[in-house]
Amino acid sequence: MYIHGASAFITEPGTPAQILKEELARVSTAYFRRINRYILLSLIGAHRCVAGRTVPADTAVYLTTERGNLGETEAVLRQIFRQHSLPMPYSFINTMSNTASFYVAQGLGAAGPNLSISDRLLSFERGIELLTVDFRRGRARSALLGGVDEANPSAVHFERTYGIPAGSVRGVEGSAWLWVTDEPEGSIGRILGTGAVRDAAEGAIWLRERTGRSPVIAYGLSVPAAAREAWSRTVGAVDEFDYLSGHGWFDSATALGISRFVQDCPGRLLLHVTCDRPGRYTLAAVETAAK
Amino acid sequence: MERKACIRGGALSCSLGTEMDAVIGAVRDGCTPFEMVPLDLAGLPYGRPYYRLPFRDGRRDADVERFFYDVLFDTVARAVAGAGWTGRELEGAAFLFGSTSIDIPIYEAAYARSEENGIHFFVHASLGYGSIAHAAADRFGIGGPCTTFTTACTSSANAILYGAGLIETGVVNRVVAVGYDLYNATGFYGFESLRLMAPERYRPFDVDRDGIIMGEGCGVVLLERGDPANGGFIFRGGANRCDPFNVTTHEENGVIIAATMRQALADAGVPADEIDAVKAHATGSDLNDRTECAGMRTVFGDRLPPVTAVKPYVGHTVGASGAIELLLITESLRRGFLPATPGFEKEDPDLGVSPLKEPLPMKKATVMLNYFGFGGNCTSLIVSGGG
Repeated sequence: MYIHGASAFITEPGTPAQILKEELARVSTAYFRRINRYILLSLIGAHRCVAGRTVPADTAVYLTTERGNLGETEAVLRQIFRQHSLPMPYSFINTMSNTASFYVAQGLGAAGPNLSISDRLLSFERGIELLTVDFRRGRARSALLGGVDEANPSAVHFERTYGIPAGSVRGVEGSAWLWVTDEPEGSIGRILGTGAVRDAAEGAIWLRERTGRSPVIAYGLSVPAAAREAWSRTVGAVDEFDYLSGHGWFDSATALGISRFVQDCPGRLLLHVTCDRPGRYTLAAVETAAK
Repeated sequence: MERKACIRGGALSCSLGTEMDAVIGAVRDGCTPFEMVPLDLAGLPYGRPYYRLPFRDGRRDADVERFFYDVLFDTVARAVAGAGWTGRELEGAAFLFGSTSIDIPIYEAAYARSEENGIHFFVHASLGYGSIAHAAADRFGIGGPCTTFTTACTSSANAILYGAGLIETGVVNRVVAVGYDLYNATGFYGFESLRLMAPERYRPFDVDRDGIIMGEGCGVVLLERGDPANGGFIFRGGANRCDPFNVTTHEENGVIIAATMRQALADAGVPADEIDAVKAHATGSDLNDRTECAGMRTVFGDRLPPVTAVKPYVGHTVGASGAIELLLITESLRRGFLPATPGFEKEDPDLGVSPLKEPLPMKKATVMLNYFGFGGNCTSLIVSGGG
């Protein structure tokens, strides 16, 4: 699974929609009506990833998200429960998160598989997993895989989820994508896979089964600080890629980390480590082509 | 070694009940137990039909969140017990959850009680799309991948398709695939805002069809690596594609719908003339039925096998329809018949497709099951077995 494009669009929480629309107009000539903030974010990231190229008509779209479409859903609830009216039709339609993956497909002419999926803290890794199923089953040969989330507005929720103070990392909203095909020629990187392990020792075996190279390591926010040194040492990491300090955090930040690595670190191997439940880690590995 | 996924078991909670023999008996008898639900929250002086779960014990009114999880956990527990899966077998299984509304019924109830506005509300009431699946996985000790599919009406069909894919590619040996959508005002009032709901009767593919009747339910399909038990079903293949024509409707000539069916046939290694029956999506809305029938005519030509639609028994359970309708079909075939489509009376010459008016005796069969939803999402599944 070879990477032919990568993008990582991040913006400050509360960025006016007009600015997002102007950004979309810079990266796409398509015109989209009745779209909302979440869809705008999705489109900007996906179109930046493709960068004006034409994707094959059977390209798949896997949009991964932790929380989907927050703002529009509240608007629909307000119309029903506060204003006692029927919801606006397009507000209702836009509450469905696969509306965003639909517009990505429509804008790029991608009529292959189209999924909107989620898994607490592991949504992007699940996207890699399902993309792998489709490639191995021969159901897709070209795919866009993205992680999109609006800013999480709650310090309470953040601290409950990650167990660290909310101010530890800068919150952003973002849309980060990879364009993956089965064509090695001209690729800028390669996805080695994703998998679950119990600890760093298992992680080292998992990595050795895929490559003999020493990795740069990156951690999801949920990996306890106390566990990181053991991981780095055991897998023989040569460096750490701290994308969260550098770029900020949003709920689908794994997508941000991997896509930034593909763009910023040619000729290297990344092992991304996330922890979703006590005693279980999920890994994702990509290697980038030398420039 | 070729890896195959079979359907090891399943369980339902739907408007027809929870006990499988009784549910399929009601299907054989043509029961269509919808009721009128008022649209009073929006100040409208009328209601719309809806297929509710048949629990009238006050649990839902007392605590929606608890009721929500009770229904989900009970349905999963019945499926797992029926298959005889133990904790050890569940530990390595994947839990794939398909839903359109996910946790909307829970936070809607909280929103109705609250005076809070703004998206800050959600951080207290909703823990994210993955939270329901993780609660269920934790409850049953399921330790494998735990993925939520939210692709509108194809959600749990995609959970089944990709669950089989995880088995076929060796990621796991067992999958608990769930489709679950509980009544919620967002969906009920939302579909009314689109003017898609039928006022009185459910008549998919009929010349006088006039819309959807929604329903709620939970379907659990257990997939396992290996061959099915006697009378069971094997998952042959499937496909998912996107029709980028329009967010709510498909291109009228059904070109992507047909492409999805053809890709599913190719994936399954089954020629079109070996399909014994088609379970249509058949929402009953004018355009959806039109595009679906155009797609079927393209694929099957004048050799269209018997077609049926099962929404008139349980309603359009949106994201749950993938699992629920698969179980209604496979469990009916295990009992020797293909269900009829109650409500269908008069053929629409523009559609050129007439679903069954009476149950058709049928045992062993290869069946195509079709699902087409908002967001242009198209999924076709092919299973073989029964008898």
